[in-house]
Amino acid sequence: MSLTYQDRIKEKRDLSKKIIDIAKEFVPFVFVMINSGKDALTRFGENEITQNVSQEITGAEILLVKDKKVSKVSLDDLSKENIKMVIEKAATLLEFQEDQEHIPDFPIDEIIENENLNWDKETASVSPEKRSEVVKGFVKKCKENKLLASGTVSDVVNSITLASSKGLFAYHEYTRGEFTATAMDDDGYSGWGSISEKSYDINKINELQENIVKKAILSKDPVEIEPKEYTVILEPAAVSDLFLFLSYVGLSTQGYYLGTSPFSNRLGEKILSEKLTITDDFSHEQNPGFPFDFEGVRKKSLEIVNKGILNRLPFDLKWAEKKGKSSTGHGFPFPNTMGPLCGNLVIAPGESSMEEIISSSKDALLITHFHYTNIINPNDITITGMTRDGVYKIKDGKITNSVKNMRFTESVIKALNNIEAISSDQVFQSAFFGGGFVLPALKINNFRFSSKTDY
Amino acid sequence: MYKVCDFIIDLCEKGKASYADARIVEMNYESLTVKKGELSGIENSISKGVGIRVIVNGAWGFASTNDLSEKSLRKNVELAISIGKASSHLIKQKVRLTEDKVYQDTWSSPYILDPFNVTWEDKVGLLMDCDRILSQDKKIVDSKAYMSFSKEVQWFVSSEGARIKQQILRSGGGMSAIASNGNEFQRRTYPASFGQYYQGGYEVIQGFKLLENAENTRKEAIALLDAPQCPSGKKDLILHGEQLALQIHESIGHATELDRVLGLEANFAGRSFVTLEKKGKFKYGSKLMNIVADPTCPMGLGTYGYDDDGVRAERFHVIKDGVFENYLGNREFAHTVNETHSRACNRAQGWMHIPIVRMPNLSLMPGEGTLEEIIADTKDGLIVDTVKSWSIDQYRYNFQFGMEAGWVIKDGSISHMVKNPTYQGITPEFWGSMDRVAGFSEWKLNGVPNCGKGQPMQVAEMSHGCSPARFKKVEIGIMR
Repeated sequence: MSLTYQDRIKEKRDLSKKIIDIAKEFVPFVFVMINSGKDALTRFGENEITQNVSQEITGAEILLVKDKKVSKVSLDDLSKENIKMVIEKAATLLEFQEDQEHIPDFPIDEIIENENLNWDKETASVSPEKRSEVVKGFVKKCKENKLLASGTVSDVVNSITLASSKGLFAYHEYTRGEFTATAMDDDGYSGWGSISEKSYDINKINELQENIVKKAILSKDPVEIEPKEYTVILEPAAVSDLFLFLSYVGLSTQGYYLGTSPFSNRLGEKILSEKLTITDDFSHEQNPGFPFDFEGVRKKSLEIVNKGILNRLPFDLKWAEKKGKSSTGHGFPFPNTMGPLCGNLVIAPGESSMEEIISSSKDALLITHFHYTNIINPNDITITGMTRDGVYKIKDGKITNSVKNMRFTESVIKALNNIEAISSDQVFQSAFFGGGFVLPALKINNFRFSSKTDY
Repeated sequence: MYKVCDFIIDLCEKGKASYADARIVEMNYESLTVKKGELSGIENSISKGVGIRVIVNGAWGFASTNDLSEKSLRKNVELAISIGKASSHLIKQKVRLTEDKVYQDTWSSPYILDPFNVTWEDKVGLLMDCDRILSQDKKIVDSKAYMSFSKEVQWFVSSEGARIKQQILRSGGGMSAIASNGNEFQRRTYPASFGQYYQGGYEVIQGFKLLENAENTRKEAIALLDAPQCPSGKKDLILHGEQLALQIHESIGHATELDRVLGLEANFAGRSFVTLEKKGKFKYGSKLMNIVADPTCPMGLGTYGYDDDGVRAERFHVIKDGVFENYLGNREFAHTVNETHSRACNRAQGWMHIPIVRMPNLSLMPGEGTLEEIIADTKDGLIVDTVKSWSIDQYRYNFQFGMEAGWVIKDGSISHMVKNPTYQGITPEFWGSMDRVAGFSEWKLNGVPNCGKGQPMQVAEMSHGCSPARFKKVEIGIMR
């Protein structure tokens, strides 16, 4: 019989207490993070299931603090004997360590969400057969259109627990039902789509599957065009690559104060298009964000950019102390060499639907998503990557044909200053560290492509 | 541990699995980082669990857990079998494994000094000293020195009778300095962008001579601030070390992984332009191009006695005299290229993941001459150093790389340093333009400790050996 919500919390409370009680024999302060979950994933390619796995793990990261010395251990054998052995060894090592300049002043708090906020009972117990049925449905649609199906169906069940010897206890659990797939013709031209939500919504998945097949059909017989600057309409999956690097490089608080962010010393200044308002909001209905950060601080929703103006930055305990501020709940697990980051960005929607943006475009390219995007120059956040799974030419408000893939090389700052339109629809796109971004589509002028390919 | 594996195999056979293997992996990991004069903490992790792989009704099932209690093992065997049954409803043909020889053996990577026994004073002291030298200038806004070690022990038992125990010890580290003049910043790292790693003990760290190279790392980071931008246009490009290794990794290694070629990565990492009909005849590059897969190469990160199918590691040519010869494959896919034995390239990350096709060490064989001679022979060129950025398309065809630093070569000698160097190319054209490869005296292994592939994502390690090589008329300075 599966455990109730209260049972699951009690189970983690008991485990964290067990660890803390053992550790307190050796050190005065203990901070524990328990990650527990199951990731089941069915992978398919060439119209058949090619891999089918279930992975479960419960592991703990334990910070031992004595005076100004800190030692961290991770383990996944959580028997009492093993915990004691590992902690004893780590505590011995404390003697050899140099003093830390900064030790976080971890909060005392109890953070427990309402039941089922991010958890779906059915998704927590999906059978491999159900995932197979989802795959079968997509393969059938692809076969009917002489296309090859590939992708994954997965269900994730996870919880994170933070506890300390001073009295912190924070618990968050979530489920995700995810489907991502490509439909490809014999020449390798394709359509793609993905969905990640708290639970499987078969109707939405079916709708997405239909759209992927339509895009693949539309991708046939692409025309080669020359790489240069084009007006582009980036679907949300393509937009997410821009915002990943914006968040990691540009909106990094550590980078801001060390001088490695291009926005250093520019708080209050216009840095991006006035059409852009960006918040970091874990509580947005489409975001699966945690209500607390990895230091146990309650997360705040922050308006990072207001109409293009850099409004404020995220803080963790270390940078808050350094700058005389309060933590905004954007800390990562100790030791953290990246500083605080925004992991739940939400880009405010515009007023036009995607259809209206397309129909009002005289000459543009519609981009499905990018492949293998990476940063070339952090000074202006220049990134490069390839278009993938559908690039379509728009002429006089209509999609006329597909075009061959191209490589873009463009500054994120320049691109986000050249926004012409923002769609009214937003979708969630997974990003990093269990977070993700809620993003609209963007129409951007003068977006630079630097080379082409045969595919 | 063999007893636990035997218990699992017995359960799998009772559950009607036609094949089963159990892999218990115990991993000890330790890392130390000093950042801006502060010890960011010592991290230790210990992980132990089992991956259970079965073939049921001709299809794979896999379940893994770190709970090794009898109850959990029974549950996970049942789960693996039910997953195999579910998979069997949508397969074109049953899994066909090669009939490779079955081994009972042990294998260990050699080392001299166990890093887990080196004192903390020695390790932390070295990093502190490096960081102190790195940060000895106001223009250095960030600095870091680090090292890490992992000891992995694996027990593999299969229903065919394989019983293999392997132990791998990996050591590595590095340092970085970031300089800023208020308007821009530049980063320099040593000995490689994400550190250098080898199979071996603490002697690996000692061999890097971190302390002796800290000052130069700092100075070059600062010098880059005032260096001119990399010019744009076509020039002869000299690659060496880590950057040439990455070029091999991205445009040859992943391109010749058989699962990609067969379309199994199509939705995620992509496919490959090296399609099946190209085997044995496709001109991948110039005649100087000899690429060898070698999981037996000493000190390589992708060195092992047996892969995770239990097949003994072997050395073979992937490309010979510029012509594509062999894919990187495993027991499952060998038949698709009419091979009767596996190339032993099936590997998993830890106990948690299912084995997938992974490149082992993959190297460019040495040619003749020295880097000095190649530079002297170059009229209008660019030599670049240290990975900064990499991107390659879903067919491993169009790529673009950025490096930390470059030096312009004019009339046979190095003229000046340039910043933000980049180059772009098309894989077979680029390798076809390689007209010089230096000799064995400058050949060395370069570790890739962070290669991601698969869903759920797995990280694997491998090395790429190479000596400096020259490529004619390459498009450089892309970002300008």
